[in-house]
Amino acid sequence: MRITVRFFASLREITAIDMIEIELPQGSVSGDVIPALRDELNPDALVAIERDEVRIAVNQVILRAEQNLNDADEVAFLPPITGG
Amino acid sequence: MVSVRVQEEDFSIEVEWSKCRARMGGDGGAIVAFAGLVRERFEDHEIRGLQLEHYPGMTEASMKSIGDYAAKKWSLLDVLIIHRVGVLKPSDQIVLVMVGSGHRPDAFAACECIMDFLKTEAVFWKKEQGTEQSRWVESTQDDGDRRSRWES
Repeated sequence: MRITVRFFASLREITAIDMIEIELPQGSVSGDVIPALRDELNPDALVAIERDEVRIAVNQVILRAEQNLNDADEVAFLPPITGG
Repeated sequence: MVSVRVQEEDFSIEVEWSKCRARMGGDGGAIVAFAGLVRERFEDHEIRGLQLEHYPGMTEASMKSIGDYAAKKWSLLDVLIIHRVGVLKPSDQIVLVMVGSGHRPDAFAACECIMDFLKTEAVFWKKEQGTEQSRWVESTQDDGDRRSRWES
């Protein structure tokens, strides 16, 4: 299945990627996304997206626990937010 | 009753104020509005501008959820949250929270609560453009503490 991965703000800068599509086997879960990005990202970017304060959203909903992915899902990596 | 907008263009408090009054009709007894502005200094360095980024769809949903939370907690007649994105300069308006209610205590409390939640829950990212370098702004401990006090 094909998953769209998006990076925002500081993570977009460090990964030098706004949006990328990756191919994952059927039955993949949210935790399979980062390993699938290992060939796409530089080592600093991999460290950055795995920091504790980075939140992951699947189809614009913050991930609270691992979940199954479906074809055409959008997974986004969100650095700490600062509205207002 | 809760409306949210994300936009690049500036907003007019006067225009929104009139619309809020009209939406509340005769039941409205109070309007409280807060507008956030871009400061020209942060700690010891000068700010030339602020770049605001959002996640279309998720950002609006996060703002709506904050407004809905306030509307459940207090008796409100109208809630408007406008947040700007793009590149802003010092003294530009960034955010508007406008709350209409029958009575002032609910309007004051809801306006402050919404603003505190926007700081930590609304999906925006700010990058300060300094004179020598730029940096992504992170929430402060104070932002988190201010938000937490509404959750009891």
